[in-house]
Amino acid sequence: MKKKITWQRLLPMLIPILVLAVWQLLSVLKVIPTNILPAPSAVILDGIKLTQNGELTRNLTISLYRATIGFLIGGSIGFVLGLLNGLSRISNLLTDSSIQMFRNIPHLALIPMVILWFGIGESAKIFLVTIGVMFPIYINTLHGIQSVDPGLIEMGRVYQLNKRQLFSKIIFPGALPSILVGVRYALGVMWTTLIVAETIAADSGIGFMAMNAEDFMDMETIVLCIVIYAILGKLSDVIVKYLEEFLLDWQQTD
Amino acid sequence: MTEVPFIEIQHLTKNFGDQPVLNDLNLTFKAGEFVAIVGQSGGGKSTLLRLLAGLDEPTKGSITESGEQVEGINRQARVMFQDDRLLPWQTVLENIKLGTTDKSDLALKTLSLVGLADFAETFPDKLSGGQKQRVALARALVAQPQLLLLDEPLGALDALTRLNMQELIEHVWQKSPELTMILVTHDVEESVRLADRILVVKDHGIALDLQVGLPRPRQNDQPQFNEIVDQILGEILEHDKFNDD
Repeated sequence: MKKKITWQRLLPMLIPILVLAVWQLLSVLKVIPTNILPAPSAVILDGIKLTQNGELTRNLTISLYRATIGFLIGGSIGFVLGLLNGLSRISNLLTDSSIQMFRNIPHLALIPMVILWFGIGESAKIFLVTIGVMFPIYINTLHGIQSVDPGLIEMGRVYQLNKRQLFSKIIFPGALPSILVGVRYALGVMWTTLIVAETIAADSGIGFMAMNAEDFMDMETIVLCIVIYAILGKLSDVIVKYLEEFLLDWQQTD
Repeated sequence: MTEVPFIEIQHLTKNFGDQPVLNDLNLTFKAGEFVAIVGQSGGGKSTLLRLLAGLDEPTKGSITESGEQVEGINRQARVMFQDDRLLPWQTVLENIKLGTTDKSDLALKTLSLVGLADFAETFPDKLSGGQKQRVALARALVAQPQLLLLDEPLGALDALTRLNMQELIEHVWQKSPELTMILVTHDVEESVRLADRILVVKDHGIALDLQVGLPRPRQNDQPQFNEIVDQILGEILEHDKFNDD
């Protein structure tokens, strides 16, 4: 049984390890030229070098800062608007139509305007991430609340729950699976937005590091930045997965 | 039992749009009575129960309980629905304590009463349909209501589980002399097995109000039992055999 579990844990790592091994082998055999794609070992050495001189840590920290602040602001606004429009018919009638109209504008199309508004400082990137994550969380919070079984709400009324208890015991837990789907999707949007924003208008961050490397034809650093984004994306996904396991423990199958 | 009615329904009318469901209903229920309401689907049985629970407002007329008019949710009543309506994210014990100030001892005692003492920390999706309805019954009882409204709670259960639940409901009612139970069911045998009074709802009103004086426990192999069943079925199906084409 224990052996089986260990195998199952290792299985998802098999393909990445194989890809790396084949990639390294083809690079060593010079099948893949280094100016097209550097070897994994060269990318790792570049990562060590950039960590030692502090450049990677500095850029990673600023990217994480922008992502976190943007996510917290956008997520909070989306969550609150979703709650308001899910719980209040008047609020829904007043704002949902406008929000849906705004949502359909690709937020990355706002970049030229955002640069004119905020320049290339922190505010521009945080603003774009905020707009990007706000809508998935809004839509999923609203959908989650609207999907709560009306029979459960009716039962709550019969069992004399007040409005606060109805929310905390029935509506919020009922909407939580949908809200977490929104969080997972929003984290993906968060990284995509940040990559684009840092690539176009930044003087720091992982995206800037990649663009700067392009000027110097530094292929190792470009690949390193792409790998870092992949790792950060995966890390976000793992965090949400654990969050789901913790908050939705009643959905566990065994 | 006291002569003063526990519940008094006066000129109760309920329309959905232009469609009348109940029309000028006048009824009284005594405290501690076990009443079954039977009739065909769409006849207004569940509507009457929802009006008693305060989940719907009457179009006309009034419902008075212990001398006070029922307005909004009926605070003395609890409802057991056809579906269990348990919160899947709460354990059995948390579900039972819903809407009560922390009454862990009473909740555990009630859980023992319905035979599920070992399932306090289990989530509802691990329970069978019958067990879930037992939890729903326990949840209704923990609040110690004066009125328990049962809206076809056994409709979705298999025959054996249904019989066990009928015994449990009868046992609970016998243990609580002041508890008034009103059971809506489409199963006429179930109504005769459990209730002391059976109301047949038809044509937006009460077509038959029948006292059942059979001793308990009641079995469907007793001649009198079947006579009552036939009488009720005859009332429900009268006219419909001509309309049923």
